[in-house]
Amino acid sequence: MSLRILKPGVLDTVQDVGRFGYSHLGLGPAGAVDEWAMATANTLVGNAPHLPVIEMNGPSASMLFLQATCVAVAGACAAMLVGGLPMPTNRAVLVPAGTPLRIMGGWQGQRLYLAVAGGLEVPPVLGSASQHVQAGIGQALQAGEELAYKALPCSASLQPRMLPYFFAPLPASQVLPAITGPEWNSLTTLEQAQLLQANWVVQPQSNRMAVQLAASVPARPSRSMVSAPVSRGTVQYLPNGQLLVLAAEHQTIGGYPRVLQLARHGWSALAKAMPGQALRWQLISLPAARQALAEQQKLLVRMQSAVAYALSAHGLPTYFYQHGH
Amino acid sequence: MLTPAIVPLHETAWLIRWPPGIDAATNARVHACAAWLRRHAPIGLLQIVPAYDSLLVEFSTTVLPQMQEIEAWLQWAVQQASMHAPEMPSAEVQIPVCFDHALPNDLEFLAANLQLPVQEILTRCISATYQVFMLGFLPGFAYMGPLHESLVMPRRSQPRVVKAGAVAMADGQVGIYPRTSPGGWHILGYTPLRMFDAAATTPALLQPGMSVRFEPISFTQYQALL
Repeated sequence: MSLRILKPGVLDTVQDVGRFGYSHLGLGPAGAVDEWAMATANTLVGNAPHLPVIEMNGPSASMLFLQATCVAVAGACAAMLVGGLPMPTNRAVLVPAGTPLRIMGGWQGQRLYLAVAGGLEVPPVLGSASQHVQAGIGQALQAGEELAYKALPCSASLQPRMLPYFFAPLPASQVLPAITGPEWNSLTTLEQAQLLQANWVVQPQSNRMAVQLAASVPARPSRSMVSAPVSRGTVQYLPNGQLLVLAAEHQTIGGYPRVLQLARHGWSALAKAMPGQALRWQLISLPAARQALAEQQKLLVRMQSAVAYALSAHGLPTYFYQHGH
Repeated sequence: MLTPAIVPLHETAWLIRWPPGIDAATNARVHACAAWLRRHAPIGLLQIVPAYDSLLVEFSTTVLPQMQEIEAWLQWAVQQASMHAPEMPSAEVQIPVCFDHALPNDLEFLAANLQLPVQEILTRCISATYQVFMLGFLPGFAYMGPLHESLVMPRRSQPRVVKAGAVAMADGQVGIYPRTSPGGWHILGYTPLRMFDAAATTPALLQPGMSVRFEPISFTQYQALL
Protein backbone atom coordinates (compact mmCIF):
# COMPACT_ATOMS: atom_id res chain seq x y z
CA MET A 1 0.00 0.00 0.00
CA SER A 2 1.28 3.43 -0.89
CA LEU A 3 -0.98 6.18 0.46
CA ARG A 4 -2.22 6.29 4.02
CA ILE A 5 -5.11 8.55 5.01
CA LEU A 6 -4.14 10.27 8.25
CA LYS A 7 -7.15 12.51 8.69
CA PRO A 8 -9.86 12.54 6.02
CA GLY A 9 -12.24 15.38 5.32
CA VAL A 10 -16.00 14.91 5.36
CA LEU A 11 -16.97 12.36 2.70
CA ASP A 12 -13.63 12.09 0.87
CA THR A 13 -13.91 9.34 -1.74
CA VAL A 14 -12.07 7.77 -4.64
CA GLN A 15 -13.53 8.89 -7.95
CA ASP A 16 -12.89 8.55 -11.64
CA VAL A 17 -15.15 9.44 -14.55
CA GLY A 18 -17.84 7.05 -13.27
CA ARG A 19 -19.47 3.80 -14.35
CA PHE A 20 -21.58 3.79 -17.48
CA GLY A 21 -23.96 1.19 -18.80
CA TYR A 22 -26.01 0.57 -15.67
CA SER A 23 -28.38 3.54 -15.61
CA HIS A 24 -31.14 1.31 -16.99
CA LEU A 25 -30.78 -0.66 -13.72
CA GLY A 26 -31.13 2.49 -11.63
CA LEU A 27 -27.39 2.76 -11.00
CA GLY A 28 -26.17 6.12 -12.27
CA PRO A 29 -22.57 6.89 -13.26
CA ALA A 30 -21.43 8.83 -10.14
CA GLY A 31 -17.81 9.96 -10.67
CA ALA A 32 -16.02 13.20 -9.85
CA VAL A 33 -18.33 16.19 -9.40
CA ASP A 34 -15.77 18.60 -10.90
CA GLU A 35 -14.63 16.64 -13.92
CA TRP A 36 -12.36 19.41 -15.19
CA ALA A 37 -10.52 19.70 -11.87
CA MET A 38 -10.01 15.93 -11.86
CA ALA A 39 -8.74 16.06 -15.45
CA THR A 40 -6.37 18.92 -14.53
CA ALA A 41 -4.91 17.14 -11.50
CA ASN A 42 -4.43 13.97 -13.56
CA THR A 43 -2.88 15.79 -16.54
CA LEU A 44 -0.39 17.61 -14.31
CA VAL A 45 1.10 14.30 -13.18
CA GLY A 46 1.05 12.82 -16.69
CA ASN A 47 -2.12 10.74 -16.26
CA ALA A 48 -4.99 10.11 -18.62
CA PRO A 49 -7.69 12.57 -17.47
CA HIS A 50 -9.95 9.97 -15.87
CA LEU A 51 -7.63 7.84 -13.74
CA PRO A 52 -8.78 7.34 -10.13
CA VAL A 53 -8.20 10.31 -7.82
CA ILE A 54 -9.25 11.32 -4.32
CA GLU A 55 -12.15 13.76 -4.24
CA MET A 56 -11.93 15.89 -1.10
CA ASN A 57 -14.76 17.92 0.36
CA GLY A 58 -12.91 19.59 3.21
CA PRO A 59 -12.73 21.14 5.66
CA SER A 60 -9.16 19.84 5.65
CA ALA A 61 -7.32 16.56 5.13
CA SER A 62 -3.94 14.97 5.66
CA MET A 63 -2.29 11.88 4.25
CA LEU A 64 1.08 10.19 4.00
CA PHE A 65 2.83 9.06 0.80
CA LEU A 66 4.58 5.83 1.73
CA GLN A 67 6.16 5.57 -1.71
CA ALA A 68 7.75 8.19 -3.95
CA THR A 69 5.36 9.70 -6.46
CA CYS A 70 4.39 12.82 -8.38
CA VAL A 71 1.27 14.41 -6.90
CA ALA A 72 -1.01 17.26 -7.98
CA VAL A 73 -4.03 18.84 -6.32
CA ALA A 74 -6.58 20.88 -8.31
CA GLY A 75 -10.07 22.33 -7.85
CA ALA A 76 -10.90 24.79 -5.08
CA CYS A 77 -8.30 27.33 -3.93
CA ALA A 78 -6.65 25.90 -0.84
CA ALA A 79 -3.38 26.11 1.05
CA MET A 80 -1.30 22.97 1.24
CA LEU A 81 1.77 21.74 3.10
CA VAL A 82 3.84 19.01 1.46
CA GLY A 83 6.53 17.60 3.72
CA GLY A 84 5.91 20.63 5.92
CA LEU A 85 6.64 23.05 3.05
CA PRO A 86 3.92 25.29 1.59
CA MET A 87 3.14 24.19 -1.95
CA PRO A 88 0.65 25.65 -4.41
CA THR A 89 -2.18 23.61 -5.86
CA ASN A 90 -2.38 23.25 -9.66
CA ARG A 91 1.27 22.15 -9.82
CA ALA A 92 2.97 18.76 -10.09
CA VAL A 93 5.10 18.02 -7.02
CA LEU A 94 7.65 15.20 -6.79
CA VAL A 95 7.56 13.67 -3.32
CA PRO A 96 9.99 11.17 -1.82
CA ALA A 97 8.75 8.16 0.17
CA GLY A 98 7.52 9.14 3.62
CA THR A 99 6.22 12.60 2.70
CA PRO A 100 3.11 13.87 4.49
CA LEU A 101 0.62 16.14 2.73
CA ARG A 102 -1.78 18.41 4.55
CA ILE A 103 -4.60 20.44 3.02
CA MET A 104 -5.41 23.39 5.26
CA GLY A 105 -8.95 24.62 5.94
CA GLY A 106 -10.54 27.81 4.65
CA TRP A 107 -11.01 26.94 0.98
CA GLN A 108 -12.29 29.27 -1.68
CA GLY A 109 -14.63 27.10 -3.68
CA GLN A 110 -15.61 23.47 -3.31
CA ARG A 111 -13.98 20.15 -3.99
CA LEU A 112 -10.32 19.36 -4.41
CA TYR A 113 -8.89 16.50 -6.41
CA LEU A 114 -5.62 14.75 -5.63
CA ALA A 115 -3.92 12.72 -8.35
CA VAL A 116 -0.77 10.58 -8.18
CA ALA A 117 1.34 9.50 -11.13
CA GLY A 118 -0.16 6.36 -12.68
CA GLY A 119 -3.43 6.80 -10.82
CA LEU A 120 -4.69 5.17 -7.64
CA GLU A 121 -5.00 1.41 -8.00
CA VAL A 122 -8.42 0.63 -6.66
CA PRO A 123 -10.28 -2.61 -7.48
CA PRO A 124 -13.11 -1.56 -9.82
CA VAL A 125 -16.75 -2.30 -9.12
CA LEU A 126 -18.77 -2.70 -12.33
CA GLY A 127 -15.93 -1.25 -14.34
CA SER A 128 -15.15 1.86 -12.30
CA ALA A 129 -13.20 2.89 -9.22
CA SER A 130 -15.82 5.52 -8.36
CA GLN A 131 -17.24 5.18 -4.90
CA HIS A 132 -20.99 5.75 -4.94
CA VAL A 133 -21.89 5.80 -1.29
CA GLN A 134 -25.58 6.58 -1.96
CA ALA A 135 -25.83 3.42 -4.04
CA GLY A 136 -23.98 1.28 -1.53
CA ILE A 137 -20.74 1.06 -3.52
CA GLY A 138 -17.72 1.97 -1.43
CA GLN A 139 -17.65 4.31 1.51
CA ALA A 140 -15.98 7.53 2.61
CA LEU A 141 -12.24 7.23 3.24
CA GLN A 142 -11.42 6.50 6.88
CA ALA A 143 -8.43 7.50 9.00
CA GLY A 144 -5.78 4.81 8.71
CA GLU A 145 -7.10 3.52 5.39
CA GLU A 146 -4.48 2.82 2.72
CA LEU A 147 -4.69 3.09 -1.06
CA ALA A 148 -2.27 1.64 -3.59
CA TYR A 149 -0.30 3.27 -6.40
CA LYS A 150 2.90 2.38 -8.23
CA ALA A 151 6.03 3.97 -6.82
CA LEU A 152 7.69 6.44 -9.17
CA PRO A 153 10.55 4.61 -10.89
CA CYS A 154 13.26 7.17 -10.32
CA SER A 155 15.33 8.46 -7.42
CA ALA A 156 13.58 11.44 -5.93
CA SER A 157 15.32 14.18 -3.99
CA LEU A 158 15.13 14.21 -0.22
CA GLN A 159 12.70 17.15 -0.35
CA PRO A 160 9.40 17.60 -2.16
CA ARG A 161 10.15 19.38 -5.45
CA MET A 162 7.67 21.34 -7.53
CA LEU A 163 7.90 20.90 -11.31
CA PRO A 164 8.02 24.20 -13.19
CA TYR A 165 4.99 23.99 -15.49
CA PHE A 166 1.50 25.12 -14.62
CA PHE A 167 -1.82 25.90 -16.27
CA ALA A 168 -4.17 28.74 -15.45
CA PRO A 169 -7.35 27.35 -13.94
CA LEU A 170 -10.61 28.02 -15.76
CA PRO A 171 -11.76 31.57 -14.95
CA ALA A 172 -14.27 31.67 -12.08
CA SER A 173 -17.72 32.38 -13.39
CA GLN A 174 -21.04 33.49 -11.98
CA VAL A 175 -22.78 32.61 -15.24
CA LEU A 176 -24.06 29.13 -16.01
CA PRO A 177 -24.41 28.39 -19.72
CA ALA A 178 -27.42 26.22 -20.50
CA ILE A 179 -29.46 24.89 -23.36
CA THR A 180 -33.22 24.62 -23.07
CA GLY A 181 -34.54 21.42 -21.53
CA PRO A 182 -37.29 19.10 -22.83
CA GLU A 183 -39.91 20.84 -20.64
CA TRP A 184 -38.71 24.42 -21.20
CA ASN A 185 -41.86 25.15 -23.21
CA SER A 186 -44.08 23.97 -20.37
CA LEU A 187 -43.11 27.26 -18.69
CA THR A 188 -44.99 30.42 -19.58
CA THR A 189 -43.01 33.22 -21.25
CA LEU A 190 -43.14 35.09 -17.95
CA GLU A 191 -41.81 32.10 -16.00
CA GLN A 192 -39.03 31.67 -18.53
CA ALA A 193 -38.04 35.33 -18.23
CA GLN A 194 -38.15 35.21 -14.42
CA LEU A 195 -35.94 32.14 -14.40
CA LEU A 196 -33.35 33.73 -16.69
CA GLN A 197 -33.30 37.08 -14.89
CA ALA A 198 -33.13 35.79 -11.33
CA ASN A 199 -30.07 35.46 -9.11
CA TRP A 200 -29.97 31.82 -8.12
CA VAL A 201 -28.30 31.20 -4.76
CA VAL A 202 -26.55 27.90 -4.00
CA GLN A 203 -28.27 26.26 -1.02
CA PRO A 204 -26.31 24.50 1.75
CA GLN A 205 -28.17 21.20 1.21
CA SER A 206 -26.34 20.81 -2.12
CA ASN A 207 -24.34 17.60 -2.31
CA ARG A 208 -23.00 14.98 -4.72
CA MET A 209 -26.53 14.18 -5.86
CA ALA A 210 -27.57 17.69 -6.88
CA VAL A 211 -27.00 21.40 -6.41
CA GLN A 212 -30.03 23.17 -5.05
CA LEU A 213 -30.64 26.74 -6.20
CA ALA A 214 -33.14 29.20 -4.74
CA ALA A 215 -34.25 32.60 -5.97
CA SER A 216 -37.07 35.00 -5.19
CA VAL A 217 -39.17 33.49 -7.93
CA PRO A 218 -42.79 32.57 -7.21
CA ALA A 219 -43.56 28.93 -6.55
CA ARG A 220 -45.56 27.33 -9.31
CA PRO A 221 -48.40 24.82 -9.06
CA SER A 222 -47.09 21.29 -9.24
CA ARG A 223 -47.56 20.00 -12.77
CA SER A 224 -47.31 16.25 -12.81
CA MET A 225 -45.05 14.71 -15.38
CA VAL A 226 -44.54 11.10 -16.28
CA SER A 227 -41.11 10.20 -14.89
CA ALA A 228 -38.43 10.29 -17.54
CA PRO A 229 -34.67 9.84 -17.85
CA VAL A 230 -32.38 12.60 -16.64
CA SER A 231 -28.64 13.11 -16.82
CA ARG A 232 -25.95 15.05 -15.02
CA GLY A 233 -26.56 18.74 -15.67
CA THR A 234 -30.32 18.36 -16.04
CA VAL A 235 -32.05 21.27 -14.29
CA GLN A 236 -35.33 20.31 -12.64
CA TYR A 237 -37.92 22.91 -11.69
CA LEU A 238 -39.38 22.01 -8.29
CA PRO A 239 -42.94 22.87 -7.22
CA ASN A 240 -41.55 25.20 -4.52
CA GLY A 241 -39.89 27.35 -7.18
CA GLN A 242 -36.36 26.08 -6.55
CA LEU A 243 -34.10 24.53 -9.14
CA LEU A 244 -32.26 21.26 -8.77
CA VAL A 245 -29.18 20.86 -10.97
CA LEU A 246 -28.33 17.17 -11.07
CA ALA A 247 -24.75 16.32 -10.15
CA ALA A 248 -22.61 13.19 -10.03
CA GLU A 249 -24.83 10.88 -7.95
CA HIS A 250 -28.14 11.91 -9.50
CA GLN A 251 -31.04 9.49 -9.67
CA THR A 252 -31.43 8.11 -13.16
CA ILE A 253 -35.14 8.91 -13.58
CA GLY A 254 -36.95 12.09 -12.53
CA GLY A 255 -40.51 13.31 -12.26
CA TYR A 256 -39.94 17.06 -12.21
CA PRO A 257 -39.93 19.22 -15.37
CA ARG A 258 -36.52 19.38 -17.02
CA VAL A 259 -36.41 23.07 -17.91
CA LEU A 260 -32.73 23.55 -18.67
CA GLN A 261 -29.62 21.51 -19.27
CA LEU A 262 -26.37 22.92 -17.85
CA ALA A 263 -23.81 22.92 -20.66
CA ARG A 264 -21.01 20.50 -19.96
CA HIS A 265 -18.29 23.14 -20.19
CA GLY A 266 -20.07 24.89 -17.30
CA TRP A 267 -20.09 21.87 -14.95
CA SER A 268 -16.83 22.94 -13.31
CA ALA A 269 -18.07 26.45 -12.48
CA LEU A 270 -21.11 24.99 -10.72
CA ALA A 271 -19.03 22.32 -8.96
CA LYS A 272 -16.86 25.05 -7.43
CA ALA A 273 -19.74 27.33 -6.35
CA MET A 274 -20.09 27.59 -2.59
CA PRO A 275 -23.34 27.82 -0.60
CA GLY A 276 -24.50 31.42 -0.64
CA GLN A 277 -23.01 32.18 -4.02
CA ALA A 278 -25.35 33.77 -6.58
CA LEU A 279 -25.40 32.48 -10.15
CA ARG A 280 -27.29 33.39 -13.30
CA TRP A 281 -28.33 31.33 -16.27
CA GLN A 282 -27.41 32.17 -19.83
CA LEU A 283 -29.20 30.42 -22.67
CA ILE A 284 -26.98 29.18 -25.46
CA SER A 285 -27.70 27.08 -28.54
CA LEU A 286 -26.86 23.39 -28.74
CA PRO A 287 -24.23 24.00 -31.47
CA ALA A 288 -22.62 26.66 -29.26
CA ALA A 289 -22.57 24.22 -26.34
CA ARG A 290 -20.94 21.54 -28.48
CA GLN A 291 -18.41 24.08 -29.77
CA ALA A 292 -17.47 25.19 -26.25
CA LEU A 293 -17.07 21.56 -25.15
CA ALA A 294 -14.85 20.88 -28.16
CA GLU A 295 -12.70 23.90 -27.19
CA GLN A 296 -12.32 22.54 -23.68
CA GLN A 297 -11.26 19.16 -25.07
CA LYS A 298 -8.63 20.88 -27.24
CA LEU A 299 -7.36 22.77 -24.19
CA LEU A 300 -6.87 19.46 -22.39
CA VAL A 301 -4.90 18.06 -25.32
CA ARG A 302 -2.63 21.16 -25.32
CA MET A 303 -2.06 20.67 -21.58
CA GLN A 304 -1.20 17.02 -22.16
CA SER A 305 1.36 17.91 -24.86
CA ALA A 306 3.05 20.45 -22.60
CA VAL A 307 3.20 17.96 -19.73
CA ALA A 308 4.55 15.21 -22.01
CA TYR A 309 7.53 17.41 -22.93
CA ALA A 310 8.12 18.58 -19.38
CA LEU A 311 7.94 15.14 -17.75
CA SER A 312 10.24 13.54 -20.31
CA ALA A 313 12.73 16.39 -19.74
CA HIS A 314 12.72 15.35 -16.08
CA GLY A 315 13.13 11.68 -16.93
CA LEU A 316 9.64 10.88 -15.67
CA PRO A 317 7.07 8.57 -17.30
CA THR A 318 3.64 9.55 -18.53
CA TYR A 319 0.42 7.54 -18.26
CA PHE A 320 -1.76 9.21 -20.88
CA TYR A 321 -2.81 5.90 -22.39
CA GLN A 322 -3.45 4.10 -19.16
CA HIS A 323 -6.95 2.93 -18.44
CA GLY A 324 -8.26 2.70 -14.90
CA HIS A 325 -7.18 -0.48 -13.10
CA MET B 1 -47.17 2.67 -36.13
CA LEU B 2 -46.23 6.20 -35.09
CA THR B 3 -42.52 6.95 -35.17
CA PRO B 4 -41.54 8.60 -31.88
CA ALA B 5 -40.01 12.08 -31.66
CA ILE B 6 -36.27 12.55 -31.18
CA VAL B 7 -35.06 15.59 -29.24
CA PRO B 8 -31.56 16.42 -28.01
CA LEU B 9 -31.10 16.37 -24.24
CA HIS B 10 -27.50 17.55 -24.10
CA GLU B 11 -24.34 17.84 -26.19
CA THR B 12 -24.04 14.09 -26.73
CA ALA B 13 -27.48 12.66 -25.87
CA TRP B 14 -30.98 12.43 -27.28
CA LEU B 15 -34.39 11.55 -25.91
CA ILE B 16 -36.76 9.39 -27.89
CA ARG B 17 -40.31 10.23 -26.87
CA TRP B 18 -43.54 8.35 -27.41
CA PRO B 19 -47.01 9.78 -26.60
CA PRO B 20 -46.98 10.47 -22.84
CA GLY B 21 -48.48 7.98 -20.43
CA ILE B 22 -47.90 4.89 -18.35
CA ASP B 23 -49.19 1.88 -20.24
CA ALA B 24 -47.86 -1.52 -21.13
CA ALA B 25 -48.21 -1.13 -24.90
CA THR B 26 -46.19 2.09 -25.14
CA ASN B 27 -43.63 0.77 -22.70
CA ALA B 28 -43.20 -2.40 -24.77
CA ARG B 29 -42.31 -0.19 -27.76
CA VAL B 30 -39.76 1.65 -25.62
CA HIS B 31 -38.05 -1.65 -24.77
CA ALA B 32 -38.24 -2.95 -28.32
CA CYS B 33 -36.57 0.25 -29.56
CA ALA B 34 -33.91 0.05 -26.83
CA ALA B 35 -33.15 -3.56 -27.75
CA TRP B 36 -32.88 -2.69 -31.46
CA LEU B 37 -30.56 0.26 -30.78
CA ARG B 38 -28.38 -1.83 -28.50
CA ARG B 39 -28.04 -4.56 -31.14
CA HIS B 40 -27.05 -2.12 -33.88
CA ALA B 41 -25.21 0.51 -31.85
CA PRO B 42 -22.43 2.52 -33.47
CA ILE B 43 -19.15 3.40 -31.80
CA GLY B 44 -19.35 5.75 -28.85
CA LEU B 45 -22.65 4.61 -27.34
CA LEU B 46 -22.44 5.06 -23.56
CA GLN B 47 -25.84 4.01 -22.33
CA ILE B 48 -29.50 3.57 -23.17
CA VAL B 49 -31.93 4.37 -20.35
CA PRO B 50 -35.61 3.48 -20.70
CA ALA B 51 -38.48 5.07 -18.80
CA TYR B 52 -42.26 4.70 -19.15
CA ASP B 53 -42.65 6.48 -22.47
CA SER B 54 -39.21 7.74 -23.37
CA LEU B 55 -35.67 6.56 -23.92
CA LEU B 56 -32.35 8.32 -23.30
CA VAL B 57 -29.58 7.48 -25.75
CA GLU B 58 -26.24 8.84 -24.61
CA PHE B 59 -22.90 8.94 -26.41
CA SER B 60 -19.36 9.50 -25.18
CA THR B 61 -17.68 12.89 -25.62
CA THR B 62 -15.00 11.06 -27.61
CA VAL B 63 -17.43 11.13 -30.55
CA LEU B 64 -18.38 14.79 -30.10
CA PRO B 65 -17.14 15.61 -33.64
CA GLN B 66 -19.64 13.08 -35.09
CA MET B 67 -22.86 14.35 -33.53
CA GLN B 68 -24.56 15.14 -36.87
CA GLU B 69 -23.78 11.71 -38.32
CA ILE B 70 -24.94 10.05 -35.12
CA GLU B 71 -28.17 12.04 -35.11
CA ALA B 72 -28.83 10.96 -38.70
CA TRP B 73 -28.19 7.34 -37.74
CA LEU B 74 -30.52 7.67 -34.75
CA GLN B 75 -33.37 9.03 -36.92
CA TRP B 76 -32.98 6.07 -39.28
CA ALA B 77 -32.51 3.52 -36.47
CA VAL B 78 -35.61 4.62 -34.54
CA GLN B 79 -37.69 4.37 -37.71
CA GLN B 80 -36.31 0.86 -38.34
CA ALA B 81 -37.03 -0.15 -34.77
CA SER B 82 -40.61 1.14 -34.91
CA MET B 83 -41.28 -0.96 -38.03
CA HIS B 84 -40.52 -4.14 -36.13
CA ALA B 85 -43.16 -5.62 -33.87
CA PRO B 86 -42.48 -5.32 -30.13
CA GLU B 87 -40.34 -8.17 -28.89
CA MET B 88 -41.92 -11.13 -27.12
CA PRO B 89 -41.60 -10.60 -23.37
CA SER B 90 -38.66 -12.35 -21.77
CA ALA B 91 -39.20 -15.41 -19.58
CA GLU B 92 -41.33 -14.85 -16.54
CA VAL B 93 -39.55 -14.23 -13.25
CA GLN B 94 -41.20 -15.57 -10.10
CA ILE B 95 -40.52 -13.51 -6.99
CA PRO B 96 -41.27 -15.27 -3.68
CA VAL B 97 -43.11 -12.88 -1.36
CA CYS B 98 -44.09 -13.34 2.27
CA PHE B 99 -47.35 -11.58 3.08
CA ASP B 100 -47.44 -12.91 6.64
CA HIS B 101 -48.16 -10.30 9.32
CA ALA B 102 -45.04 -11.52 11.16
CA LEU B 103 -43.35 -8.92 8.94
CA PRO B 104 -44.94 -5.49 9.30
CA ASN B 105 -47.01 -4.56 6.25
CA ASP B 106 -49.87 -2.26 5.25
CA LEU B 107 -52.44 -4.90 4.24
CA GLU B 108 -54.93 -3.97 6.97
CA PHE B 109 -54.56 -0.28 6.10
CA LEU B 110 -55.09 -1.07 2.39
CA ALA B 111 -58.12 -3.27 3.16
CA ALA B 112 -59.75 -0.44 5.09
CA ASN B 113 -59.01 2.17 2.39
CA LEU B 114 -59.75 0.05 -0.67
CA GLN B 115 -62.85 -1.48 0.97
CA LEU B 116 -61.66 -4.96 0.09
CA PRO B 117 -60.84 -7.91 2.33
CA VAL B 118 -57.09 -8.58 2.74
CA GLN B 119 -57.45 -11.97 1.05
CA GLU B 120 -59.03 -10.38 -2.02
CA ILE B 121 -56.20 -7.84 -2.27
CA LEU B 122 -53.66 -10.66 -2.12
CA THR B 123 -55.52 -12.77 -4.69
CA ARG B 124 -55.57 -9.87 -7.15
CA CYS B 125 -51.87 -9.12 -6.58
CA ILE B 126 -50.80 -12.73 -6.97
CA SER B 127 -52.91 -13.54 -10.01
CA ALA B 128 -51.44 -10.74 -12.12
CA THR B 129 -48.41 -10.76 -14.39
CA TYR B 130 -46.52 -7.47 -14.18
CA GLN B 131 -44.30 -5.81 -16.75
CA VAL B 132 -41.13 -4.09 -15.54
CA PHE B 133 -41.65 -0.58 -16.93
CA MET B 134 -38.27 0.78 -15.89
CA LEU B 135 -35.73 0.86 -13.07
CA GLY B 136 -34.88 4.01 -11.15
CA PHE B 137 -34.95 5.78 -7.75
CA LEU B 138 -32.45 3.23 -6.37
CA PRO B 139 -30.20 0.69 -8.11
CA GLY B 140 -32.37 -2.34 -8.76
CA PHE B 141 -35.73 -0.68 -7.93
CA ALA B 142 -38.12 -1.89 -10.63
CA TYR B 143 -41.37 -0.03 -11.39
CA MET B 144 -43.87 -2.73 -12.37
CA GLY B 145 -47.46 -2.75 -13.53
CA PRO B 146 -50.17 -2.47 -14.33
CA LEU B 147 -51.82 -3.12 -11.00
CA HIS B 148 -55.53 -4.05 -10.91
CA GLU B 149 -57.59 -0.82 -11.02
CA SER B 150 -59.34 -1.73 -7.76
CA LEU B 151 -55.96 -1.56 -6.00
CA VAL B 152 -54.91 1.92 -7.09
CA MET B 153 -53.92 4.03 -4.06
CA PRO B 154 -51.94 7.26 -3.99
CA ARG B 155 -48.60 7.10 -2.24
CA ARG B 156 -48.36 7.96 1.45
CA SER B 157 -48.15 11.67 2.28
CA GLN B 158 -45.22 11.01 4.62
CA PRO B 159 -42.46 8.60 3.65
CA ARG B 160 -41.01 6.33 6.33
CA VAL B 161 -38.14 3.87 6.56
CA VAL B 162 -38.87 0.80 4.43
CA LYS B 163 -36.88 -2.41 4.98
CA ALA B 164 -34.92 -4.11 2.19
CA GLY B 165 -37.03 -6.59 0.23
CA ALA B 166 -40.32 -4.78 0.84
CA VAL B 167 -42.79 -5.37 -1.99
CA ALA B 168 -44.88 -2.21 -2.14
CA MET B 169 -47.45 -0.44 -4.28
CA ALA B 170 -48.67 3.06 -5.15
CA ASP B 171 -50.39 4.81 -8.05
CA GLY B 172 -51.18 1.58 -9.84
CA GLN B 173 -47.64 0.21 -9.76
CA VAL B 174 -45.67 -2.31 -7.74
CA GLY B 175 -42.04 -2.04 -6.71
CA ILE B 176 -39.54 -3.87 -4.54
CA TYR B 177 -37.15 -1.88 -2.34
CA PRO B 178 -33.66 -3.32 -2.95
CA ARG B 179 -32.36 -1.90 0.32
CA THR B 180 -33.59 -0.19 3.44
CA SER B 181 -34.45 3.37 2.47
CA PRO B 182 -37.07 6.08 2.94
CA GLY B 183 -40.16 5.18 0.93
CA GLY B 184 -43.70 6.38 0.35
CA TRP B 185 -45.32 3.24 -1.09
CA HIS B 186 -47.69 0.86 0.74
CA ILE B 187 -46.05 -2.38 1.81
CA LEU B 188 -47.72 -5.63 0.73
CA GLY B 189 -45.06 -8.08 1.87
CA TYR B 190 -41.36 -8.92 1.69
CA THR B 191 -39.15 -10.93 -0.61
CA PRO B 192 -36.06 -12.68 0.75
CA LEU B 193 -34.32 -12.27 -2.62
CA ARG B 194 -31.44 -9.84 -3.12
CA MET B 195 -32.68 -7.41 -5.82
CA PHE B 196 -29.35 -5.69 -6.41
CA ASP B 197 -25.76 -6.77 -5.83
CA ALA B 198 -22.96 -4.67 -7.34
CA ALA B 199 -20.56 -7.60 -6.97
CA ALA B 200 -22.72 -10.05 -8.96
CA THR B 201 -22.24 -10.77 -12.69
CA THR B 202 -25.84 -9.63 -13.27
CA PRO B 203 -26.13 -6.92 -10.65
CA ALA B 204 -29.92 -6.47 -10.87
CA LEU B 205 -32.39 -9.30 -10.59
CA LEU B 206 -35.06 -7.43 -12.59
CA GLN B 207 -34.42 -5.67 -15.92
CA PRO B 208 -36.66 -3.36 -17.95
CA GLY B 209 -39.16 -5.29 -20.05
CA MET B 210 -39.21 -8.47 -17.92
CA SER B 211 -42.45 -10.15 -16.84
CA VAL B 212 -42.89 -10.74 -13.13
CA ARG B 213 -45.27 -12.77 -10.95
CA PHE B 214 -45.40 -13.01 -7.18
CA GLU B 215 -45.36 -16.41 -5.46
CA PRO B 216 -46.68 -16.40 -1.89
CA ILE B 217 -44.43 -18.06 0.69
CA SER B 218 -44.73 -18.61 4.42
CA PHE B 219 -42.76 -16.81 7.06
CA THR B 220 -40.72 -19.97 7.67
CA GLN B 221 -39.90 -20.27 3.97
CA TYR B 222 -39.01 -16.55 3.91
CA GLN B 223 -36.53 -16.99 6.75
CA ALA B 224 -35.02 -20.06 5.06
CA LEU B 225 -34.44 -18.18 1.81
CA LEU B 226 -32.82 -15.11 3.37
